[in-house]
Amino acid sequence: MKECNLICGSFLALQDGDGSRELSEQAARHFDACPDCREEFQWYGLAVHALSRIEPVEPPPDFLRQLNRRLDELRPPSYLDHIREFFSFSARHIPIPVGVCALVACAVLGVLLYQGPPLDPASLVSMVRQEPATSGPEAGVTAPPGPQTTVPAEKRRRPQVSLPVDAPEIRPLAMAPKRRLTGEYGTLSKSLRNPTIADIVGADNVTVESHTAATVAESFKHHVLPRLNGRIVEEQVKNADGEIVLGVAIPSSAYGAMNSELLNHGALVSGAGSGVQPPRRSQTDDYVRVYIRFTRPQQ
Amino acid sequence: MERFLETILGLLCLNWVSWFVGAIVEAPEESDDQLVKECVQGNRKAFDRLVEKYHKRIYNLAYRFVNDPEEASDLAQEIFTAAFQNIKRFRGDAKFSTWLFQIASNRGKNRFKYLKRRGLLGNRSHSDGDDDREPTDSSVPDPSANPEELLAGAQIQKIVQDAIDDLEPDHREIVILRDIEGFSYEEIAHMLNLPEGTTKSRLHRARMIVKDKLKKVLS
Repeated sequence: MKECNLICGSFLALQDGDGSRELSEQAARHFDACPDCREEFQWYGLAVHALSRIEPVEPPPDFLRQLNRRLDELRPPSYLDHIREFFSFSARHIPIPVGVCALVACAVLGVLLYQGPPLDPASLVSMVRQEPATSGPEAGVTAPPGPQTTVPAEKRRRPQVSLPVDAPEIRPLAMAPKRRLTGEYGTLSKSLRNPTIADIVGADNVTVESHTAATVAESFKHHVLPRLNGRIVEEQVKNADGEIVLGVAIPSSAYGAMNSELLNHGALVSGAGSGVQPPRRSQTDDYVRVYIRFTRPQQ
Repeated sequence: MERFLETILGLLCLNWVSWFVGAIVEAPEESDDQLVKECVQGNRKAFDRLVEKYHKRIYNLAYRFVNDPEEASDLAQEIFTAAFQNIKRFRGDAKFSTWLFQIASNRGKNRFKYLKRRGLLGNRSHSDGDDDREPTDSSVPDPSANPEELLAGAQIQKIVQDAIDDLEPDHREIVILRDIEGFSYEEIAHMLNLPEGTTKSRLHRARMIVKDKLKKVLS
């Protein structure tokens, strides 16, 4: 009986197989002699086997949803959480189509950027070299923001023009902001009486360089300007070198066309061109005032 | 290398791309330690992944404690909620699973006591102590037969669960942790804050009770 109690108390070690060899041999001998203990050990093993073979119970289908709701009630997610999630690597639940679309969008954007037109270094120089205006808006005249700060993409490439044989060396020139006329020209003429147009112009308007500056100016006055419905506001020969300054008023919609015409006359105009459109005005009688300096190229 | 790529893509705010690449490459499963670290930093998604990993085992453990699907679901949610609230206290000197099942065991035992005190333990078809139930012929196998055949019957599952239900809470938790969940004696001793010898002696007594129950019903 004493040995039965000892063996019975060792069932755990015997079942788990971590008893000593002496214990195992003693138990084997005892089981041969004691059928009751042997049967008890068999039932013990059966119980352990039954416990380890018990089938797992599956949670209800909405278990995770209920748990998430419970966790959400503990701490509502803040905006910071959303931002952190967006910039983290843990977004495991993003649908695959969304990820694929993002990837495709990145690829398309990359291809578009790669195939874009290269920037012309000369146009970059002209963009940088913008000379400041020497005079501010006068009474009765408002100066709209000119195109000197931004150059449209299509103007990054120079238009193909036919230059005369004696065309000057290409130099980037300056373009001043256009000035818009309001009302009748009389107001403008009155406001321009003093100081002189030459003083006002300075360098911040369209400058045309040509060896035949006088011819170009005459052609511009008599052929181009009427086609554009423009008018000469002021005209002055500034110095003995034949530099001519024209103050013209043209419809704002004709500004680009005027620059194209100047280019077609064999001149070089920097910072403006046929594609440049001044700021749109709703009225049809919106005019811009432009000073054009026709000058010979410096040697 | 993979972590480096993830970092670079993250800096470029291309975590979606990172996720997509990760989904293709089939990154290895994150360890519990890494997920816990992210949880402590406030990443709720990391905790969700831990829940996904352990919710079946925790629910199963809860069911063994209360033997009722509704109660088990509520208990399992309570266990995860407690873990979520206390995860910053997890020191990392044991495995996360050990820590989680320690919470589960304590909560399960308390819930069982609560229900028993109020007589709310449901689905209890068995009776305490003297069981005068007459088992059907199909549930009376020969103990000398093959154990696989003996345990194949569906009714055995119920008899074993009833045997577990008859155990005292201290015995019940140790049987669940060792024989059902398969934790080592060392882990159980750590969970229950008991010496290993005490753990073994408790388990032995619990098994003997289950053995007697099975013998009584099946023989």
